[in-house]
Amino acid sequence: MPKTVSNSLSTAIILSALIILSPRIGGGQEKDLGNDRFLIRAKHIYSANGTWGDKGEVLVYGGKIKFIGDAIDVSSPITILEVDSLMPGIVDAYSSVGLSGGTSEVSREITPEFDSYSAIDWSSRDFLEAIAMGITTAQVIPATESVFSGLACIVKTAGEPTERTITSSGSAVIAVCSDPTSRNRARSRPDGIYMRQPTNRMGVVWIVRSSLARIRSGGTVDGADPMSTALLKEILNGKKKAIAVSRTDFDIRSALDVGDEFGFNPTIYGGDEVYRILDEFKKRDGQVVYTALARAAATSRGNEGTALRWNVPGRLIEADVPFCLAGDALLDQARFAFRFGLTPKQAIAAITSRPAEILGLSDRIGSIAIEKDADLVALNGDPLQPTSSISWTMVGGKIYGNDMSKQ
Amino acid sequence: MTNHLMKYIAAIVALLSLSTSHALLHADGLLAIQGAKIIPIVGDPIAVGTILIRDGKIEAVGKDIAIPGEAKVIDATGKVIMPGFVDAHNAAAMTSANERNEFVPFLSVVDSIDPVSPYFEECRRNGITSAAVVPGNSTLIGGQAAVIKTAGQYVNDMLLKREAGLKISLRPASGNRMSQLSRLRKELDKAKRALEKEAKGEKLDTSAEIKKEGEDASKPADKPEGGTEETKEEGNADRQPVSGSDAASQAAGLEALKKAIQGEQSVYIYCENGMDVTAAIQLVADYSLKPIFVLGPSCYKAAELLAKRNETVILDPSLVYWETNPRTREDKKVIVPQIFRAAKVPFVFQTEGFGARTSLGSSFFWYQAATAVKYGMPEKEALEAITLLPAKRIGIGHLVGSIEVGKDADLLVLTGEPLDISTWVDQTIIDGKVVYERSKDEKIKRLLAPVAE
Amino acid sequence: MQIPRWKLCFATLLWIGFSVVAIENRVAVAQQVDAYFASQIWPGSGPVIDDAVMVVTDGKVSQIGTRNATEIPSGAKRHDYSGDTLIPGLVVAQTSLVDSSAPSTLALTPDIRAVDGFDPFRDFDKYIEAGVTTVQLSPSSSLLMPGQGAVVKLGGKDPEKRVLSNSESLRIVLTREAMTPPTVYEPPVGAVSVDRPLESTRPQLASSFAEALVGLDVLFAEAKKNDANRSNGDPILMALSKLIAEKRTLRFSVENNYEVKAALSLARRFELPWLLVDPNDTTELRNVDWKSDSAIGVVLSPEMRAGRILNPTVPIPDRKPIIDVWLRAKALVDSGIGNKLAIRPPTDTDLSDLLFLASLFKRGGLTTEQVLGMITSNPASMMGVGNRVGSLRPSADADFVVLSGNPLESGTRVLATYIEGRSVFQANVDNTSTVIEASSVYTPQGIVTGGVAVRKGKISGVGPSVSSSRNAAIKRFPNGVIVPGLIDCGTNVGLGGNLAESLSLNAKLGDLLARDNDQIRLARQGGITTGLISSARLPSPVLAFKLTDAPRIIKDPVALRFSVGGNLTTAEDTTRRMLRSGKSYADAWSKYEADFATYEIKLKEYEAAKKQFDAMKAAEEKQADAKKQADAKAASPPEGANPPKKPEEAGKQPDVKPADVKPADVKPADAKQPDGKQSDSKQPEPTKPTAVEPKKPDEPKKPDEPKKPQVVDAMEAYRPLFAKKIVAMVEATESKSIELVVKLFRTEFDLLTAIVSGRAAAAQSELLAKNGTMVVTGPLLIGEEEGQIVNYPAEIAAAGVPTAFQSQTTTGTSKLPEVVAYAVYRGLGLDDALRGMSQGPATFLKLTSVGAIELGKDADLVVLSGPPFELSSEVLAVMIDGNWVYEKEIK
Repeated sequence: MPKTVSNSLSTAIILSALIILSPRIGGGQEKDLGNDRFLIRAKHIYSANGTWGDKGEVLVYGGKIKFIGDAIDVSSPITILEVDSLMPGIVDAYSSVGLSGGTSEVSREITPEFDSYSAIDWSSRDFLEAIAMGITTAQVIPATESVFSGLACIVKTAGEPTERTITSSGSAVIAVCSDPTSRNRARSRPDGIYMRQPTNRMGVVWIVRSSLARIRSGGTVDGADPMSTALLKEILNGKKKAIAVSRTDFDIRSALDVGDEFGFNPTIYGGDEVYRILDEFKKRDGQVVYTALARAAATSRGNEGTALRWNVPGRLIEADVPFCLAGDALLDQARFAFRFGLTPKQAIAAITSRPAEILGLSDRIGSIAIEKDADLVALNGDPLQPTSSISWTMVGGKIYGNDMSKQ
Repeated sequence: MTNHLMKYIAAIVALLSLSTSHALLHADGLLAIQGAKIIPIVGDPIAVGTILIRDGKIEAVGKDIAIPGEAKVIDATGKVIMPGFVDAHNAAAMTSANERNEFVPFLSVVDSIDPVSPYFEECRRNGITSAAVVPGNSTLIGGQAAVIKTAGQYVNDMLLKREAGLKISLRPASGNRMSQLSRLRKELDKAKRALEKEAKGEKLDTSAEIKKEGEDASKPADKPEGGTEETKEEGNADRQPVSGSDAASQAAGLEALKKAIQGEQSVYIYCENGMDVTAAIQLVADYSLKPIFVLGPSCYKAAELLAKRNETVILDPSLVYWETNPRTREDKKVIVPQIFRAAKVPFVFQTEGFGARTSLGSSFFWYQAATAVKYGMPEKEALEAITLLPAKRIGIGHLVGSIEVGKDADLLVLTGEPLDISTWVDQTIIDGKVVYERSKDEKIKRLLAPVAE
Repeated sequence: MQIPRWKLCFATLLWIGFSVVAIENRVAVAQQVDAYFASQIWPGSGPVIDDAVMVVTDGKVSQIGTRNATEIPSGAKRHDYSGDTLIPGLVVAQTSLVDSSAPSTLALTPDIRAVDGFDPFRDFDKYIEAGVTTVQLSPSSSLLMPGQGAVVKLGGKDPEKRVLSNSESLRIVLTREAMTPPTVYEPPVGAVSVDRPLESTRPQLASSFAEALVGLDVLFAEAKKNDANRSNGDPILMALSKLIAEKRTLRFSVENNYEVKAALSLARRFELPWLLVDPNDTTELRNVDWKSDSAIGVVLSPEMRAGRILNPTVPIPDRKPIIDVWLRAKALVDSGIGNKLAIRPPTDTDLSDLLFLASLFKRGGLTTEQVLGMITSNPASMMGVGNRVGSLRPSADADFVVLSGNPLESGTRVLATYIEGRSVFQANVDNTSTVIEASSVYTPQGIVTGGVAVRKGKISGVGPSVSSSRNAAIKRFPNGVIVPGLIDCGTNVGLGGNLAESLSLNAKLGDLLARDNDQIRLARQGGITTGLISSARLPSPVLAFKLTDAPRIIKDPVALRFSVGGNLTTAEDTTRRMLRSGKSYADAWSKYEADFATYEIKLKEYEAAKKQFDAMKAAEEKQADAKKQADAKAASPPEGANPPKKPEEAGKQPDVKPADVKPADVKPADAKQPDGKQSDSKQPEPTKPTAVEPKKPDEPKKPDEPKKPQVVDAMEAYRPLFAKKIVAMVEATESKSIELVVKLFRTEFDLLTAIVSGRAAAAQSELLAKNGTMVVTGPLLIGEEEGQIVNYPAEIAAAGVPTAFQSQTTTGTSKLPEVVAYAVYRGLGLDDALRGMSQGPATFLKLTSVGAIELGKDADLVVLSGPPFELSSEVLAVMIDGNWVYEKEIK
């Protein structure tokens, strides 16, 4: 219900009222205060390339951040929210949120045109969980059981499906790792209908190389329909950005090599062992979406038995390689990245502004700045402390309580 | 190749820890730690205090304690000292958690503990100073648990309690819950009948002795105990002819069950879900067991039931998870500690074995505690739930779990507040011996400064 | 500036919430006593109790009986289920609601207990919502001896206390399905260890029926020999001997005659009580002594599924055909099985249709009472839990079900389910639709039997069986009579006292209505749902309103009330002048309206012109706008900078304005509407064209605007009057004045006229009949003419003049029907009386939405205990606009 605030006293009253309210109304919040205008008063604002740590006020309407400052005096119907800490919505560059009905194609290796977008179940619980974890934007990557796994897409985690979409047909995902072999069902039955190459890692790289080569020489890939061909072409002529899922140092190398041969520069996703070839990686101006930390807090080994290292992000920053953290439990990842050596600012950046840059969306998301999307996360304490919890997550100017699922 | 690496590191660190402990052994057992903030768990924190340790026991704690000249002094200025974490239930210390045979009450985990396993190294690194090693959850009756300290050269140095309790799991190992329980009942009935017989025809005064040994658990009570077992086994062997199986072990198993029924020994009961809890409570009533409830994630449904018993339960490692109601299709976020606090059920945490984890860091006790705090548990309670409470629960509350005069000097020197993300265990002290020093921890160095090698 | 109200509300709500919780707790501690009133209670065993009440103390039934026979303890919480029916929670004699994962292939597992497979936290709501509260659990298996059954409740506060019996019976399956186990049992090959050598595979029983019987016989004999304590380790024998020692019931699943025979002989040989499930041949049972304790009973299941088709088996020629299950049931009852017969649904999914399926058994001629017993008290007692569940009698658990009607009748719905006095299910009743069931309904077409269905305040159905939405509230008045809500054509209720000041004719009486006043509440208890009020000082407007808590205006005014009397010559003169001026005023307006209509059309054309004009204007605007935007960009401050620096900011940044600038001088600029798009800049636009209107589009506009007559408030009311939209109610006490009224109002000015009169109207009834007026009489309906009792309405009605009635009182309005009843007693036709209080005035006053029970009319209903206008009949309930506004207190 709208109300007009005109002097600080009444503001105080309203604030106190809101403070009393906020824990109670949970998910219902944006319904209760039915309007899309918010003045958020935060004790601390953590925006990697903006205000850091000091108090401030953010004015939100029309789904955008309209103004940032302190002591903003409002004179129109607006909801005032009092929070402890405010940070930009978290951006997950390697997510499978909402991906339903089987995530990988087993019958064929080369399915570049399969788009994850059309496989997203918008009512999936994943989105609730993402919101609860403060993730507001996610790049959905198809599973990597096929060499050319399909197309990624980028979506917001809440709002009307139509509004949620940022990129419906995004980068092309290439699995330059042993996933396609290890997950290939042909293992059990050499005579099975699923029998297909590759059955080893060499085969994977070979398929990438050979199929790209055929396309370049104007040919087609057997088994692959015109659409695939067209898509591979786009990768070659740089119309489609390429994502290479690679974890071990040699996979990463091969990914970059193939890229060089065919004149594109794939972004490395995974990158567990990138630290081993850091200088080279830097020279070949690679960028990496680092997902190892998602598993690495205590385990001794990552995927494909990659050796565990804790502070790879630290090295990447030293070497000034474009990177971001990705995978599940992103806020926790940032926390541990901080524990393992990043500065608080670097840690937050690694899950907000950096992924935004890598996805080429820094003009819209990843930081708290005027005219950016109002994707915000409010916490009851220092975002990097495991003891502080998310009070609400705002996507496109709409508030979703942390426990929106609770009736 | 990394595999070998690991072993290699493990070895090194093991050696390291040994050497240090030896060094201290030879110095006269007087150690003073000064300059640190002390969180004694029992009583209020001391802003800057000193802890005096003699022969592995805490002799004095306080603001201004005179430090005898001969004492070895550790300057912990700016650090935080708290008691070591106590792990009330884990199987990670065992070479393999579960027997394939689902009925093995006669086994003891002691025989499967490897003092130099990387697990203990991790324990010291992460501040776990004592732990109840309990057989896994996939065995109907999994044998004897043992309570140990996490540092020592031989298992016997580490042992606090050899017979810390029997492990029963209600999760069907094979078949369904009905057959699981009927099997369990059958065995317990057998033991019950045996007892009734003994009651009629005198015999078996050994129980008394066992009790005595139970009392002073501080000393590893192994040899004499074993002795009595032998005699008993003979006794039962002929009384209990069992078709086509080794009478001795059978009898030993029976003995274990009898102890459980007589309430001389607590029983770890693993409940996978709510209905298991009801079944467990029924069992406890029918056979007058002394239960220690080990709960699976979905046991929160039975929180109300457990509240009535007012016993400390051991929560599942995954403290927060999502659930979808099959009928209404309604999604909800289950926050386990919140539910149990609301129901006023005291609980302690478990960590997840390294590897399979539901959340980043749930293999650290400080993280589990922090998670609970995040969802409204006061920090003081949370800290108690990883130190004193579990210690009490597994019957070593009089030895460890808090910084009090006379207790074992199992201490953690932390670089900061216990639940702060950037806090590390700087030193781990067990029985007054420094068993872990971060400054000498090669593994951490490697992990934090990744380079190609 | 005050704190927004909604916040306060929220706070208080919270507070209330808490306090309520607190109270709840306190009650829970103290002894909880509840009284449930219902029009019927079927105790499960014993005859039905009509107009009954059940008292529940701390989850147990403490009293049960007819309403006037039982005295309710003080402080008991009353639950009104009057019109509904209570039955015991249903008890199902056999289900398999157990964890049936990985069933063993071992044919004999007497040690298996179904209770161990029962998950008290499982969601059983589906069944509870169907009234099932207690079930038997059988180890679900198609093997010879699957194990021991149990009896549990499907709901209840404390999961521990929900097990009524953890070893109720030993199940033995003799049917064909059990005869095909793996002939050789191969134990799972686990680890071979010292204590457990590889179990040897062993042949299994029951590859053939004969073998099974022999096997069982030997087994039982062996088990009987060695008592439980001297165990030799064999789990089967141990368990079995224990069960035999405890004389556990043997629960046989049987089909054919020979299986029945076998079962009986086995049970008899080892002197064990027996229970037969699903025998399709009961000839063998004819000469069973049902008195004996060993005969526990028989469980039958209707050989049908709810809403599914099962193919009947073609009878095999030389085998005698299977008798229908209900006949079997009947036969058993006739053979004196007494309360040892139970019904179970064929499958667990059919649990939710148990009531429906059970009704099948009435085919055989069994009574509802008997069949109900077979799904409540019988199974309960057969399973040895009769003392707690299955029947509603003192000291039994208060597990009961509230039904919308007779059990085992179609259309009956489960409204609520209680377990141990706690509600575990309440049908969510949508209060927008109600079904009122009564014996008869008075409709314009005459009296029909049945009831009335109401939807969203309107009547949606009338008749013997009105269909209703799934969860419509059902209200039963077994022999009630439904009449339309009554109309009082002259009451003083609603104004909080008599109104006597003179009002201008267009005064809106609606504004004077007192909301929520007690007089109204009292007044409508007599069945009056619509009232007409006016000032006592005439002339006065008349208002028609509903007697709802917040009086609902139907028509304001519905009439003008005049009075003609006194010196008639002057009266005629003044009245005529009044009416004439009124008429001229009205005519002026009606002319204007005619002209205006034509003007409207012209206006359309003008609108079109205006649109073009706007478009043009808008174009200019946009350019201007763009320019503005541009300098705005230039002007807008760097992030974080303080806006107040630039006052002109306020114009474009609607929400940010310099602290020093007063709201006043910014408000016009930034549009306050919440949907404040950047529309504020466009804002002036619509006003502009109107500003320049005069010069451009005036040629379509000016000439056409017809000349509005001067509005005279006092006269306004005449317009509807002369348009015959409303009625002239004229008080005339003398018969002469009545003639005058007719002359003026009817003949000269041709108005809808209602004479308000008694005696005089009776005298002039002939005249009135000719002139098509209505007569409003009352409150005095009976008078004396030279010693003769005269019944005014009767006289008037006799002449064929429509009559209506008025009370001229406040709360007395409730008594009007009784006055009319007296008139009826004195000879007024019942129809005339009823019409006179409903349809008659409704139609005459053009109150189309009220006055009759017809589809689409307002649901204003009065439920009487007997025929209307019988002094003996009392008002049971009154409904206005679909809401119950009065219901007779239950004592």
